[in-house]
Amino acid sequence: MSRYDLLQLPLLKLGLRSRWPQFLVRAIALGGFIFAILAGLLGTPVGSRNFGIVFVWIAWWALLMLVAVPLFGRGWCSICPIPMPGEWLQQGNVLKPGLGGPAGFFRRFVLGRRWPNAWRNIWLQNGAFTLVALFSTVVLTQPRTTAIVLAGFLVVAIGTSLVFERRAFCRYLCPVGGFIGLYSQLAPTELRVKDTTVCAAHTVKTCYTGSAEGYGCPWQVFPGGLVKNTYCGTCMECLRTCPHDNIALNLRSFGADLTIPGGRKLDEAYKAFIMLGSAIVYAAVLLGPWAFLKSAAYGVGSWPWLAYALAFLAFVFGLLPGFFFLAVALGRRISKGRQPLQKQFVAYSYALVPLGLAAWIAFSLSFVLTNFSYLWPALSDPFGWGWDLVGTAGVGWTPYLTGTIPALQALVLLGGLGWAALTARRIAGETLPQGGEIRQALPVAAYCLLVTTALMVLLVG
Amino acid sequence: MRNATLLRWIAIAAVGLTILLAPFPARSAAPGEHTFRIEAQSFEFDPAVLRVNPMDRVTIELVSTDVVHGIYIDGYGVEVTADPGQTASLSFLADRPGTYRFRCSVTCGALHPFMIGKIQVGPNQLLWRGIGLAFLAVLAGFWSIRR
Amino acid sequence: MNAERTARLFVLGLLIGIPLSILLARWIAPGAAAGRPVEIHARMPEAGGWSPADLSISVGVPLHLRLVSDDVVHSFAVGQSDQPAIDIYPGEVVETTLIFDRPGKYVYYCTRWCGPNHWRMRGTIEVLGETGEPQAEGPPLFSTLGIDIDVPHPADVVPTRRPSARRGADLGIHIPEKYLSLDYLRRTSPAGAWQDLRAEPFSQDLNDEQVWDLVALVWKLNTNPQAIQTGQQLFAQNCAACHRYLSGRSG
Repeated sequence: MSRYDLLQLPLLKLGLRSRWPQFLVRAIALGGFIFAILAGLLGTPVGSRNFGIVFVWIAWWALLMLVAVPLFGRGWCSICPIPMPGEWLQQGNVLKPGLGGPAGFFRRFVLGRRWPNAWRNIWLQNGAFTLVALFSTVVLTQPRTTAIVLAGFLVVAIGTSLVFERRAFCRYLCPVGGFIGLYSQLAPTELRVKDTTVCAAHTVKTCYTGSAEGYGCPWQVFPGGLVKNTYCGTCMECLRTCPHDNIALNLRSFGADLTIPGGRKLDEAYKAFIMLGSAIVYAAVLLGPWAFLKSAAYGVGSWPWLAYALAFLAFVFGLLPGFFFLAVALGRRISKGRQPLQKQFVAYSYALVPLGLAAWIAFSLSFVLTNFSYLWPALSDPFGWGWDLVGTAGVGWTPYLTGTIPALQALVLLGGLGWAALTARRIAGETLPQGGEIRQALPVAAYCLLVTTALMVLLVG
Repeated sequence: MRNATLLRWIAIAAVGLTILLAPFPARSAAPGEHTFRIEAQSFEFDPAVLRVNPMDRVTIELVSTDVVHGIYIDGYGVEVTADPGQTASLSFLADRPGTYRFRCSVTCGALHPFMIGKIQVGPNQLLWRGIGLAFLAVLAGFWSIRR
Repeated sequence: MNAERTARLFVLGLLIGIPLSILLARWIAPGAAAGRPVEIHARMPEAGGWSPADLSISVGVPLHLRLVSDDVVHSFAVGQSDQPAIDIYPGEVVETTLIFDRPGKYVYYCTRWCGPNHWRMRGTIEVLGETGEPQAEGPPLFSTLGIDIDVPHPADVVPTRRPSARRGADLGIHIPEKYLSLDYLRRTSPAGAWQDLRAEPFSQDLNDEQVWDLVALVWKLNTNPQAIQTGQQLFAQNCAACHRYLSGRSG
């Protein structure tokens, strides 16, 4: 598969190597983040007129799910402001890397411990996302709750930075980072090294230890060993620290990481189920015509909510993976595959990655486009205090493209399904000769077809 | 070999177009009139699912039972709001076949953006053709690999 | 090092500047000290109604109000005022200025139905002034008549069919003058009128339902089509949300 190194564009390379552009974007994003928290806390409790809700759940979410993740993978992570304050404490510096860590007063608070080995996986992220997901109907609609959740992200990130080294929060805890990582495998961009032998010969490994030019990899990744996007935060530090100019930012084919057999793990497999499952649940609860589901999901602490939460967990952690397991077992049987069943279960779950992203895009298209016009008043009157900063405070609610959304959703789902089938067959082809691979992948493809049909019924039915 | 691949894709495209464009077995009912009385309360419409035939004249009487609500019909872009106790009426010609969501158009509390129902104008061709195309998508996904 | 310092200042500037400018814009900027507006939040009565609910102002001094709803659509109207009601949409601020030229206690209230307790959603504006005429109208009628509007008026016998003025008229009974005075009707509930009529000698041969028909007749005799129409409008606006006779649901 051919790749094109975007860093051949001199201007882009200059912009990414320099610390300033990224710093400015992150600092402004941090300002926006603080602004959103304050809007949520101080502004109107009416979500549709509160900057906190509108900018986080409509503008940012749309940008993330419809643009950033599909095209740039972890592109958002590279400009996310959440680790910034903690990193400032860690480094003692906010722009340049602080060689030797923080000086003076803060030194005693920065412990710089290694992240425990038992948690060097994304199970905590799986748990964190599920936790937020169970309360999402409230988080999504109440400005105060959104503000508390955002502030919570910041506090936990700072705390984690103090105790542990590097961006442990991003890598192991952030509920958003978990799924961005999973879906970044689909992106047509990747950060890799140009020549691994250069890295092997380079004994100092400044990309990991850091230098005066940049941090040692905040994501605890050795760039020379990168084969997948999942845990590379595209922070561009290695681009700055590599003395051999060995870092490339490649344009590549979509989803190139999915069919790399190495490094497939159960925690990532479950991430795929959690994401796919919650997209299905949200499609039913939030966009469906069933009011009792909405009130159950909203009534946090009530019995109906408890039932909803248990059903959610059972669906995402039991039913969805359970049937998938059966499909994989069936495929293994009819194709006489010899691989251990659990290994196959994990391997085939990567076929759900494109399907899951398609499901999220289809789901997001609907509520983003119908509510996008809330942006204009929220921009002009972010707190609902009667301001009119840019003259759009009076713009009324106008849903966009409502006649076209269902067709778009169907199209996206179909694309995701085709991609999933293709991935399933490729995964089968890794271990089986021609012929057998189709038989083995078929039940998985049927599973994907069923899920797609369910999503279509929920979203456009 | 290359010819065979090309042939496959032509076949897939042909089947796809057939699924997309084949005349739908529609029971062509004569256009009539439909009046629905929808009760709206936070955050539900009752009934939440309406079925009409294409070219029917549809009248919706919106009755709010707790606070001010509205109804906006996707695709048609028509809207009406109703105060409790004062039934509001909305009438339109169902000239766009398909299934569309309708939603509350007056902020009525936290879950207002998700106060949603749907109206089916004739059979849901998008859904059925979509499911048909889903089979084809699997096939295309399987076939698009050269080994 | 200079770059690092600039960067730090920039971040700190954002972190401190943003909250500070919000603070300034919110609590210091709007209006000069003199005309400082009062912000009234409207919430469903179950969630607190108007807040603040009680205001005071002097005669002739403009009262600047910023009205904002925290939940659903409300509306703002002041009793004994010609000013049309002002709709308040959630999260949108509307401003208005009131000037009272007569001292007294004015009631303001919500006119868009906002829940079962909508009609309880009211607040007061105390208009202070040593001189000047008192309020144009005196206290409301129910208070001069000494009626406690919150006391229920249960009926001894509840009609099983809808009372009919026409059936009442068909009974051919001459309704005494006493029942036709406005004063009587204002003080008496239909249940009270039923009791009075039941006790009359002319109703001895009638059954309870027929007496209810007489009650209907009494009310009918005291009205005219125009008043009925006005009544229907008022009913639709203020009562129908609960007492939805049209849907057959009573409340």
